[in-house]
Amino acid sequence: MLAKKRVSIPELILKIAVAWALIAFVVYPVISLLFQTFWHNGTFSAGVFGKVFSSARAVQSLKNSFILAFTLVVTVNIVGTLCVLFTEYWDIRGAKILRLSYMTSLIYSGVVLVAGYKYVYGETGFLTQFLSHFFPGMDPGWFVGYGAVVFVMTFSCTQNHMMFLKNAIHSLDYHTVEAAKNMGASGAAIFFRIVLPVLKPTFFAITILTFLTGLGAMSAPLIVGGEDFQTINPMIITFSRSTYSREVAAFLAVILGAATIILLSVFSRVEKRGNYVSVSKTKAKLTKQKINNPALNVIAHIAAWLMFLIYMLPIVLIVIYSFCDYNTIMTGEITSGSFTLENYQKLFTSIKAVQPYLVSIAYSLGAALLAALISIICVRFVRKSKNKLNTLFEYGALIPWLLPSTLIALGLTMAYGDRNPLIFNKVLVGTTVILLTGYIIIKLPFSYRMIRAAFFAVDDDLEDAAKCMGAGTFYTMRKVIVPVILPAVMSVVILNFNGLLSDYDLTTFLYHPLYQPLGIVIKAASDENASIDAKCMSFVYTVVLMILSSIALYFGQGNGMQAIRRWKQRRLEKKVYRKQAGNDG
Amino acid sequence: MKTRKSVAIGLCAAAILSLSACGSGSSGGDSGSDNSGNGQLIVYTNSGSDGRDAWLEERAAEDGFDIRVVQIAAGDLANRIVSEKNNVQADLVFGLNNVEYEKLKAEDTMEKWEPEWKDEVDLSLGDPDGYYYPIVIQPLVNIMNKDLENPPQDYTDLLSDEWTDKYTILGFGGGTGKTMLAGFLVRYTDPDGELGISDEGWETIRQWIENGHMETEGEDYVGAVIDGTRPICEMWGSGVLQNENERNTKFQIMSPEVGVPYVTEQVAILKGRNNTEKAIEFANWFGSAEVQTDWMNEFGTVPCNESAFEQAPNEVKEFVGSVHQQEIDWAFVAENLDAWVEKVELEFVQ
Repeated sequence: MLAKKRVSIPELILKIAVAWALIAFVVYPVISLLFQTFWHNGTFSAGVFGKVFSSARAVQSLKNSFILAFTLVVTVNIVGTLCVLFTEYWDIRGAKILRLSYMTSLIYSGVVLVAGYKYVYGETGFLTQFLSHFFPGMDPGWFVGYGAVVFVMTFSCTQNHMMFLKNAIHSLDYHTVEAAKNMGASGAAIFFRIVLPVLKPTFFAITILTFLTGLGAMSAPLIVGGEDFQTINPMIITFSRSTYSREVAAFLAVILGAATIILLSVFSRVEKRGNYVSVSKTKAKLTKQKINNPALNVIAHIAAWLMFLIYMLPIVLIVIYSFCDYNTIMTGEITSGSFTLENYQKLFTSIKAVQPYLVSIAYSLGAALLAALISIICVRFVRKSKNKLNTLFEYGALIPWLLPSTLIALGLTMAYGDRNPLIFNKVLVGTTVILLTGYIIIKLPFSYRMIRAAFFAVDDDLEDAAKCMGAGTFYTMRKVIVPVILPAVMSVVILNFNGLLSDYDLTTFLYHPLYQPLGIVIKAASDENASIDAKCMSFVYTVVLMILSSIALYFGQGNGMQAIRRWKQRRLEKKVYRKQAGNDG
Repeated sequence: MKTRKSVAIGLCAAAILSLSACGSGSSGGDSGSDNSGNGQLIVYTNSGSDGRDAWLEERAAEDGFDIRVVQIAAGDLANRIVSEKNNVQADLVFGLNNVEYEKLKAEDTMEKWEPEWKDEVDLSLGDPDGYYYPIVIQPLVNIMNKDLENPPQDYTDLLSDEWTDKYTILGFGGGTGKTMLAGFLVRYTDPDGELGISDEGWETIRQWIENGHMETEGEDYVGAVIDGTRPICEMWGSGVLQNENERNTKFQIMSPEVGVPYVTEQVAILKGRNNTEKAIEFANWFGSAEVQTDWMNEFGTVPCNESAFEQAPNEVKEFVGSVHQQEIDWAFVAENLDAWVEKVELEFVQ
C-alpha cells in the first residue's frame, strides 16, 4: 500500500505539470482570444453572424472549403495508398526510385510547390505547350479552378501516407498473409480482408489530417483556384491581421473548428468499436506480393510510373529554375544563357546569413521533440487510466486544431502580453520562449493524433507480460512500448521539424527580433515588393529547405543512423586489423 | 527500478515546467537590464528589405551608432509594437504610414520628441501632436504601359467597358492596395452614409472592383503592364522607379485631377526603453539631409527633407513632378479604414 502510494506521487506531479501546461498555453489563450473578440461591453456581439452570412463571397468560399475537404479525403486516400502499395506491398519494378519520387511531397510545400505545378500545367507550362502542338484549339488556361486545386493538392498531400501508412504496413504480420494464401485466398481477398483492417487506425488518423488540410487550404486555391474556386482560409488570415475584422476571422475559424470537432468525435466513436491488433506475438516480416494477373500487373506498372512523372516534373523544374535568371523563370524559355550561380551567391553574403538557419533548426527541433514527448505522455494518461477525467488530456492536446495558427499566435500575445498570474506573473511577449511555445502548441494535435494511432499497434499482452516479470511502468515504457511506436514517433518528429522550419504565419507574430527564423528571412527576400530577384530567391530558398528536410528524413528514417553505425564499425575493424598487422610485423 | 522511474517522471515534469521557467529568465523581473540592451539600438522598420537594413547598419556604424535594423512586414509591424507594449523590444521605428502611426498613438506606445531637422520638412505630413515626423514620401499611383493609347485620366474612367479586365487592383491586405482604396473612397465622404461614405461612393467602388482584376498570389502584374496583357496597375512610388530600372522600361503615370494619395513614411521613438536619448540622437542623424541624400541615391526613395530632395536625380524629380498630393483626412481614414476593407472584402470582391 505504502509502496504504491510512493509510486504515484511523481506520476501525480507529472500529471499536474502537463495539465497546467495545457491549461496555460492551450486552453487559456484560445478562450481569452474568443472571449475578447466576441464579447463587447458585457454583451455577445451577434453582428458578425449577419456580416458573414450576407456575404456571397464568404459563404461560397466556406462551401468550397468543405467541398475541397471531402474531395481530398477520397482522392488523397486513393493516391496515397497507391503510393505505399506500389513501393512497399506489391512487387513493382524500380520501387526504390519510385519511393524517392513519391517522397518528394515530404520536402517541399506551399507557394513554391504550387508554382512548380503551374510550370508544368499552367498557361506557359511545359505540358500545356506540348499538348497545344497536337490540339491547337485547346485553351491554354485550362489548369484553373476546382479540378486544378484538387489535382495539385491530391499529389502534394500524400506525405502522411508515405510516412505513417508505410510504417503501419511494415508492422503487418506476414504469417497472417501466408495463412490466408494457404487457405486459397485470392490477392484481392487478402488485401481487403487481412491487410486493410490492420491499417484502419492509421487510415482514420490520416483521413482526419487530410480533411483538415482541405479545410485549411491556402496556396493552391490562391494560385490555381481562379475566380471560381477560392477557399476560406486566405480570408481568415487576412481578417485576423486587422483588429477591427478579427471577429469575422474568429467566427469563420469557429465554423471550421466545429466541423473538425464533429469529425473527430465521429472517428473516435468508430475507432472504439474495432479491434485492430494482430494476434501474433512473433511477427514475420512482410514480403512483397506479386500481382498475378498480367493485365493488372501492366496497369499497375503504368500507373506507378505515371505517378512518378507527376511527382518529379514540378520538383525538377524548381531545381532547374533556381539556377536561372528572372526572365527565364517568367517566360519559361530555357536557353544556354539562362543559367547562373548568382542566386546562390546571394544566400551567404556574410556570416550573419547563417544565423537564421541555426535559429530555425534549434526552434524546430526543440518544438518537434517536446511536442512528441508531451503527446506520448498524454496518450498514456488517456489510455492507461480508468478515471474518465483523463480524457480531458486528449481534448487539451487537440484544441489547437480548432483555430488557424495565426489566431493561436494572437491568442498567445493577447493572453501573455502583460503579467499573468497563470504563468507566475511573467510577460511572455518579447521573450525567446514564446515562439517555442507557439511551435509546440500548433504541432501538438497532429503529434497526439498520430502517436495515439501508433499506440494501437502496442499489444496489451506484451505489456502485461513485462509487468508480470517485474518491470516497472517506466521500464516497460522504454523497453517494450517505445520500440513499437518509435517509427511513428520519429515520423511525427520529422514531419513537425520540416513543417516548422520555414513557418511564417505563426512565426511572424512571435519571433524575437534579434533571433529571426528562416521563414521571416525567406519572406523578406522573396517578397515581390522587395525586388525583381525575389522570384529567383524563393526558388533558391526552397531548394535549400528541400536539402535540410531531406537530411532530416534521411536520419530520421533510420538509413542515416545505420550508415553512421556501419562506418564506425568499419573504422573499428580497420583499427583492429591494423593493430593485428602491427603485431604481426 | 522504481527510483529510476521516479527520476524519469520527475525529469519529464521538470522539462515541462522549465518551458515557463525559461520564459521568466529573459523577461519579467530583470526587464530593466534587458531593455537597456548593452547600448545597441534596435530599430524596427517595414522598409528594410532589399539590403536596406544592412546598408543602414553599416552607414550608422561609420558615424558611431551601434544599431540593429529589424525588418518586419508592414501588415504586422504595428501589431507587434502594440503587443510588445509591456515588454518593449525596440527603441525606434521608421517606415509605416500615418494610419498605422495613429493606431500606435492611440495605444500610447510612443514618446513625444522634436527632431533637429524639423524645419527642413513639411510638418503637415507628420503628426500635429509631435509623436512622429516625416522622412520619405511614397506617392501611390497607377502605372500604365508606355504605348497605351488614349489612357484613362482618373479612376472613374476605368469603370467603362473599354477597360474591363484591363487593370490590376492590388490586394487590400497590403499597404498600397489598402491606401489606394482609401484614397478613392474619401472622394465620396458623406457623414450620413454607411461608414461615412455615400451610396454613390460604394456603388462606384463596387463597379471599380467588378470591372477590374484583383491581384492573385504569385502573378507578375508588372510584367502584364509591360507586355500589355493588362496594361494598368497600382504601384507605390519607389516601385515605379525600381521597376523602370530593373526591367528597362518606362511607364505612363495616371495623374487624376484630385491628386494621388501620398503615403509618408515616418520616424518615431518608442516608449519604455532606457535608450531614449540615444534613439533621438539616431533619429536626428537618420533624418538629416546628408543621410537622407545617401538613402535616396542608394534606394531611389523620395525624401521629405527639402535640401535632400534638391539633390535628387532627374528621374525622381520628374516622377514627383508628374503627380500632386490628394487631400486626405488621415484621422478619418485611420478611424474607418479597417471597416471599409472588411466591407469591400466581404461584399464586393469576387
